[in-house]
Amino acid sequence: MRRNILLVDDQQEVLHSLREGLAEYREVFSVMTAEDGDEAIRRLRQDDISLVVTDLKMPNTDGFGVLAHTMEFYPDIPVIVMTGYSTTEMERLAHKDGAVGYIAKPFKTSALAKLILTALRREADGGTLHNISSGMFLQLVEMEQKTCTIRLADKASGKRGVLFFRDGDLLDARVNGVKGEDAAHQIFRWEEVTLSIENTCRCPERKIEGELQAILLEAMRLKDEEGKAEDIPGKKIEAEDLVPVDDEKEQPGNKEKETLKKRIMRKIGTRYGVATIYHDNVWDGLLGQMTRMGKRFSFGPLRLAYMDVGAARDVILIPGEETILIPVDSRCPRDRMIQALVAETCENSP
Amino acid sequence: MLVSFEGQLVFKEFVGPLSMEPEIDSSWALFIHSLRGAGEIEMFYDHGRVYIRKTEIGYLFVITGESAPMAMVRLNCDMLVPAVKNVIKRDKFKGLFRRN
Repeated sequence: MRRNILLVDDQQEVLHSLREGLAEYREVFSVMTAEDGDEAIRRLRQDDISLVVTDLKMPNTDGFGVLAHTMEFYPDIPVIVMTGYSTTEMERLAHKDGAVGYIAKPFKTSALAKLILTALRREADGGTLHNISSGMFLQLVEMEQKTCTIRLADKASGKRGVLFFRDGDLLDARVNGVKGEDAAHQIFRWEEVTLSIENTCRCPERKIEGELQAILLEAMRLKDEEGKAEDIPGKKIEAEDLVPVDDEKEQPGNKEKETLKKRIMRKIGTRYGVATIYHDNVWDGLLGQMTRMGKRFSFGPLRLAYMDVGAARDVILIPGEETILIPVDSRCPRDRMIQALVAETCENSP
Repeated sequence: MLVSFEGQLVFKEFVGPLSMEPEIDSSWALFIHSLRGAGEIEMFYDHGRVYIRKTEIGYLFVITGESAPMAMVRLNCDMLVPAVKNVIKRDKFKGLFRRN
């Protein structure tokens, strides 16, 4: 996988000679250039950059500005600093601000190339895997409580993305300019990826609060929806298609029911791939029998029932004045969701 | 407890302190009919749980306390259910259920 290196310097002759000198490494990386910090920032936003080499003294946004911007918005992209005004203090500051390499001008191109190759190798110091499904692997990362930066390339679209893990927690994700959960949803929809693992995580702060499992499920749900929308042009299939839905808008007492539905949705909602919640009295007979079965065993009131009905979605039934029906993805973390719902129904019981 | 699709008791074994063993009457046939062929049902009560799994010859009922890990129950049933039909034929059904 060939990477793009961004060289930033306001002296065109420096850019030219570095480009020439680094041409012999074209099998490993290609060289892009920017003549000042502002152009570098634009390039970072638009192009797929793997590493930045920046001069420090430049008009407008200087090298420290480029370094700070990269650390804040693209913490996975390593930065090497080069300067003609090198001092010990300058070198210390560059490393303190996050630079992975520092080189004083004048230097031999081979010395810079060595720094670049070392930084790029570090991207995959934890290994590289080809043609795998990202979901399973990422759950392993979570289980193993790994701290790492994972770079992924989608085989189908050619897109690249980055995931940041600390102690198994997903902190952040990035696909080009998209960050956080939105980026994670994109990445988790990729079916076949090549990924490389770097055994460090430079992500400064947590941008993703949700659990990995829930984000994976949401990504699957979004993917399903995309697929369904493509299958039937102009029609977005909702879970309501599974079973009949009551027209409840005109019925009395809807406010209380809506409040309960909102509470349930808030608790489990999209987190577990729930698309909708509604009332459905078709199941009242079965719930009545389930309640009687509980009495036979002296188990007390029925809180809820989970059923695999052989359809695209499983259903959860919650008894009450009117039966609440929740269609769920059969791949959802069933036990966690049931636990949350049982707690919710207990809180609401008289 | 294994109940046929017609509501007849095929097998039962209770290994815990259940308050009372269920009487198999005509209401079981109605209950099984109401399941509408569902493959798997989990019922959560205040003080217990019932896990129901469809097999080739009827519905398997696993009655547990309120703190039983359902994931383990499901897993054990995953292993047990494919063997149910064969074991019934050989009349060695009891060997499948272990006392813990």
